[in-house]
Amino acid sequence: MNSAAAMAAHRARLCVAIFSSDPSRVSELSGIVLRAGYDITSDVDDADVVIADGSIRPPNHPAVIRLGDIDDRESANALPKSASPEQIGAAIQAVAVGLSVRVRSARSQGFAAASDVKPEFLLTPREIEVLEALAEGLSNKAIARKLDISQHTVKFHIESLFRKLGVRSRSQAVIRGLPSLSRTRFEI
Amino acid sequence: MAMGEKSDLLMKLSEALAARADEAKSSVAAIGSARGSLSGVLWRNDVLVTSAQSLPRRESYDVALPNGQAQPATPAGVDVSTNIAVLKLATPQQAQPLVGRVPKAGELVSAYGADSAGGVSVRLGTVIAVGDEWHSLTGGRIDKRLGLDLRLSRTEEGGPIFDMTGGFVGMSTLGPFRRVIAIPASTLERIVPVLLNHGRIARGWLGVTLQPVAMPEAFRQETGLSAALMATSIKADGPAAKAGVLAGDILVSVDGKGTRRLRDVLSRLDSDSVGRHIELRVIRSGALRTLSLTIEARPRE
Repeated sequence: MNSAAAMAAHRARLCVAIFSSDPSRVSELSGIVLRAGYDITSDVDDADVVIADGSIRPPNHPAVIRLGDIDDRESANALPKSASPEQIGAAIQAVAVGLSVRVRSARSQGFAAASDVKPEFLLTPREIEVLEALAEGLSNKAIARKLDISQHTVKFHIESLFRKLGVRSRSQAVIRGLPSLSRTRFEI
Repeated sequence: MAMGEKSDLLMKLSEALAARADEAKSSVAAIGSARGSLSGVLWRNDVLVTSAQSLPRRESYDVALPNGQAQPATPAGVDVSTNIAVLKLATPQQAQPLVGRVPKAGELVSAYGADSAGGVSVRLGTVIAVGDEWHSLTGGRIDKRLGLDLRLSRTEEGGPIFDMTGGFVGMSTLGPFRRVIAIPASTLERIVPVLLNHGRIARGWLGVTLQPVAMPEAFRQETGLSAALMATSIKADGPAAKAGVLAGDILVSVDGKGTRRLRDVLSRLDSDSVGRHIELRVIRSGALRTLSLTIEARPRE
């Protein structure tokens, strides 16, 4: 274990140093880091993890996450500019304990054929509306009101959704259903 | 007995494969950047073709040829939808003419790769299957489905594949789970000249995001379809917006042909489709209606 990893193991909250030539980007990243439950430091030597964006040469530190404007997305500990707060938070945790992270890229998926969903697993337009309402955390009553249908009909659509997605709970339906929708959608 | 005096079938096969490799290596090149290299096909004296998905976007590349020469090359065009990128060499080479051929399933083929030191690598495998034309995730039309039973490293992707008659099968490409496919010679012959002239492939564009959906029960009989495509968002001022397509419309046919899958629409958006008028049948608030749309060229990214 390197020294940063040893420190990370002993400290209650991880300390993150942020480097960017753009002050507004620094404050944006600080917000993300604080909301993820980590502390901010300006001292590289005190930091468990350093985040440096593409505008700046990262300081010498064993645990650096590079962010944005990086040509090769496959290199370790390099996240795209568009990385989500969840991805940044998880990357800090991982890099602090000596792991390296990378984004699953389009390239690693390879050149692929347009995929087909079997007709029996396709959702109807109504089921998609219900799924999106589930993602907002709405109750059956609220969904019924929103879509102007009866609660009985909402239940019917949810049962059909569960069957097509192969899930047993509302949260599972959202976790499995939404990504599959966005994977099969095309802008043409 | 010395090895060289043996001459059974396997020895002959092995020698023949090595001889083929010696002939083929003048058609392969390494395309390097600071972060490693990939392979390319010497398409013409001054033109290299390679895999668009693995080529970092740069102003210039260092090319290493198997004759030991190194020289720069510049990008001349790229079409992500067919995974084809074209580079121009600064100093023309003596390219071997490539004669395209579609192999049969079961044939032996060799895939060639190059490294930045000028070395050539050879992979041997069979053609797993030969299928009809297909569409990529980004809408490109690939003339044949050519699956190959061989392994390829990342640096070998983009190189040429030859059959045992010396016929040029295509350019190697990594698919999902690193399965190896060939972009067929016929697709390269169709796309490369256009990229050399225009730098890109014009494609028909509708300006709408389509989501495959199960056909609502009430319309299954009337349309004869179990699935259709729902418009989820419309690009402002795009062709679909001008035609009056609304989010939530369910597209059931284009020019009378059912649109059960995305490829049913993609297949109508080739480069010669720009300017064409098409008729869309959509379901909106429980009724079928017809809209007419003029296909436009996809705007540059």
